[in-house]
Amino acid sequence: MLNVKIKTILKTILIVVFTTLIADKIIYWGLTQLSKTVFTGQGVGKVNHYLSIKDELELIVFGSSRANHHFNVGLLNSNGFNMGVDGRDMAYFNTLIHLLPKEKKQQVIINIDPKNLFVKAYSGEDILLLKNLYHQNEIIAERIEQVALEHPLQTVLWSLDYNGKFFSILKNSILPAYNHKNYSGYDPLVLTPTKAKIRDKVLAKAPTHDCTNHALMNPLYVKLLMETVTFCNNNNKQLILVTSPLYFEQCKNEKEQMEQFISKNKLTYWDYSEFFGKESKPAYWIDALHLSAEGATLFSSHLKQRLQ
Amino acid sequence: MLFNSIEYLLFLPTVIIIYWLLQKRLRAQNLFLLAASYLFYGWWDWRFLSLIIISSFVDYFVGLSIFKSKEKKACKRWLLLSLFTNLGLLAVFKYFNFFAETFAQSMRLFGWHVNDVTLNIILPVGISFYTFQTLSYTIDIYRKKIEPTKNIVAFFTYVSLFPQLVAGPIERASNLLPQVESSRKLTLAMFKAGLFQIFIGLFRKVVIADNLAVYVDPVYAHAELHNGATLLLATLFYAFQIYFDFAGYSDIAIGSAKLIGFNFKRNFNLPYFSHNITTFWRKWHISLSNWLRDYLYISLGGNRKRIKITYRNLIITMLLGGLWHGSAWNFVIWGGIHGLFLSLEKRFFNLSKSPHILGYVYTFCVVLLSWIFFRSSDFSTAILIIERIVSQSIILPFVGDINALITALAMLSVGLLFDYYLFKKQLILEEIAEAWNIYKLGFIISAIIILLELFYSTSENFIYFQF
Repeated sequence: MLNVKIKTILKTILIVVFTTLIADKIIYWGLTQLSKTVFTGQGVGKVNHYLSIKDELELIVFGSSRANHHFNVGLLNSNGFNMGVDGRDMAYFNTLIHLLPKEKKQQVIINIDPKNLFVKAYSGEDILLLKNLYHQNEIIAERIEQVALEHPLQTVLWSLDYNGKFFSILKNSILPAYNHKNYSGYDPLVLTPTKAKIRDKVLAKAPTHDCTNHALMNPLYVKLLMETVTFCNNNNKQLILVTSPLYFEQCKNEKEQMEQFISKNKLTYWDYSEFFGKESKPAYWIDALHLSAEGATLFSSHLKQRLQ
Repeated sequence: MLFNSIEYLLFLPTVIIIYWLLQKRLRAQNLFLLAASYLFYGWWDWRFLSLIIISSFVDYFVGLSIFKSKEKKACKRWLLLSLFTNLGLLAVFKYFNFFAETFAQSMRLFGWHVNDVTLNIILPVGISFYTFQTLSYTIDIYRKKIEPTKNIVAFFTYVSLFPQLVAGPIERASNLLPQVESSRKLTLAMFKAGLFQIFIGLFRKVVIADNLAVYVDPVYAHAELHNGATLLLATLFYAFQIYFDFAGYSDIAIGSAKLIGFNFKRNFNLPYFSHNITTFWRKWHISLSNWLRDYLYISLGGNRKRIKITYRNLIITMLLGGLWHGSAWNFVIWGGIHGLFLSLEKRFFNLSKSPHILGYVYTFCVVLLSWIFFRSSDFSTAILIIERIVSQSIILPFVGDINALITALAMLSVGLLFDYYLFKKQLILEEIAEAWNIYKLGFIISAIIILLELFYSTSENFIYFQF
């Protein structure tokens, strides 16, 4: 009797394990096929777009939403791409830069804000936004494992790669929001009367960033940045770090430390944080961190001259 | 250790295998279970194990002493020792700062300046649950409903049994202790039901509740920035978040217990399918509402005296039930709203009347209103949210991350449809899988695992851990 019971229990567990593994691989295969057709949307689509054109590009801009909305790459270089995406940080840029071709001469701009270097809690989590490529790209898998953020079951359960991405893949596969062939990656922020009202309220408030307790640079951030520098130096890439315009002043101590770090490591750094400043036309801003399309165009035009 | 962690995924099967290998040696099996339970709890913070051990020791000896005492007065003294110890621990660790702040504020109202004397105390996880559990043991012995156990290992195992230790269900000694004291058997029906319930619980927690939290948390964190429609949507989501979070936790607890041969009582029974608040409390956090009824409401006199006394008893019970959840006035108001409507229903409703659709709507609206106080950081925020919901709900809500919102809505729909199916077919979740053959069970669990893979969201904790 006991043996029959144990056998049934083991059989049930085996059924669960085998069915799950098979279903997991079928779902993974299906979603992989579907995701390969997706070239729109800020998550899966923009990365696919980047991967499809990266070898031909002459200029690529990396960064978060500030890069995405500030660098009008169409003005900077006709063969450029803006890979700025909201919420992304150094681990994400570092990985995507490591995917660039080794021989081709390319300009790489990273929009970097000094305060990001001092975020104590930064653990490279943004790299997980590339996890859908974990089983498709060795470099991405290696770098995810390097920051030790892969899901413990990801090597067995492959569909975990698509966690949180199912509906965006489905939506962008069926209904792409734009024609990616005409897309440079730059998303201008158009100022409307409602947005202007909200902006005025936001700009009237003092900045909330605490400048007193951020004395130490995040070691992981520094490590990833230096890896990026090494890759670019060794692979014919010109790396330029840029701080695009900010409405409020940066923390003095953070700015100074970053400048020391830059000069010590002989990096190219262009600080445009005070390019407009508080006295500038309100129409240049959407909020304290983001330029409007008008502001972004002015900034990009200026940057174009310097790049030339 | 969290039920939704990798640690628990390794811990549970290991415990189950060793536990069943010891099947023929009950004492060794219980000792192992006790050690595993302490490891489970100590994983979070081993220092607070001392509180469980103190509480267990006191109630073990108090139970025996009450039983041995022949005089009523002596019994009462022993009971008071148990009450003093358990409620004392709760008062220090959970309510000290609340009462100190309230006292200082009250004094200021009279013009006397009293400095705040607050302590930097960490709330030990699960203290509200195991305190109530051990209290019920001594009170039941005092009321001569049960006899105490002499088996100290069995008693300590009963108090600390890992599936129910940190967030319930609050298991009574009358149900659980006899199971601890006798040898357990794992039937195939229990195995199937337990396995299914663990996965359903995981789905409810990490797929539904945690995806809803992605919308709810930022909105409630800055309620003043959002319009009425957004706040209404966030409150609606919160109503389901807390249900699926806590019901999910209870499912994993009950399912895990089944795999080690224990039968826990149901803790949730589709509470949002209730046509009045009275019925809601028979279906929501059943182990707590039964505890409050048996040890508080009935102790206050229940409904045996005048009707006005019954109303008073209901309101006091619910106010204290609110305070049990947390040391803040918001929780007291939450309890007060439920107490008030329970009293109103007793006065104006014919509770035996068959359910009407309007009853379901009324119940959900009252519960929703009470959740605003429960979730808000303070009273003024709750009032602001209510004002905005009343005055500006007919506008578009804030969408945020569209992908996250679609995922939350889709998974909520799956959860609600499943609950509706259970309600319509009058099925009991705890028993539904018992009759399935192993292929059906295997396929259904695999489907749940795929949903977990694709849609899980991460959250720090179960909501009820903070209580």
